[in-house]
Amino acid sequence: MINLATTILAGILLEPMNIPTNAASLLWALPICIGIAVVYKAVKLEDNQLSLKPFIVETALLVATIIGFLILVAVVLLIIASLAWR
Amino acid sequence: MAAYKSRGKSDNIVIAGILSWLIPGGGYFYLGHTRRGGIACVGICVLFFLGVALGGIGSVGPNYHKLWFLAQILSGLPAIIGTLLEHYKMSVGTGRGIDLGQLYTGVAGLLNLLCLLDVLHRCQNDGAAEAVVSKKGRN
Repeated sequence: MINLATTILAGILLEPMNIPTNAASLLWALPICIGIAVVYKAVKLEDNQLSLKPFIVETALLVATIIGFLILVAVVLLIIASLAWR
Repeated sequence: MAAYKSRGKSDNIVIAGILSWLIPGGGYFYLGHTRRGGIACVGICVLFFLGVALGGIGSVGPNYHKLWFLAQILSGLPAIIGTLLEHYKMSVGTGRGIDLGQLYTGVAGLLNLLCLLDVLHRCQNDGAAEAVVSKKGRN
């Protein structure tokens, strides 16, 4: 059982994952946004706000803001690229 | 007495700083902010291990990209263990796996730097607050 767990863990951690360079791979930005929001809010919030509900609400707001601005930057870059291709 | 207090305070800052670098969230645990430390520890470690899962252990270490390694090493013990295990890497892989792995582990290190700076700031503030309280007590 321990050998099996070690083999699975080694397989996950030693071999790099083959992620294709397509549009769906952009979704890998989501976990990093969530991670940044969680740690940033853990640092920033006051002690009395560090309970479950306010923490989740604040983190979800920050994740939504980051993703919103990523989409905004993508749209601006798309407009610039389309203008440059004309 | 004042010299002893100030030496104790600077010792605390050094210990909190080293703990905060080595163990993600360790500085908060040392200062008694256990909930804050727990959230920071889980957040940084999950990001780091997700990065290793994406890019393989070969994405951590100075051999692949030196600038990213500067960010990765800020996450302390996970990055040190990753660097020591780097020679176990099996293949380079294709696609975005390695790039994403470096990004995740690098961001984990930079978030640990944010925690470290916050711990040092809290140490200073706590020391200043203690000084004010002791001054008021004497008056």
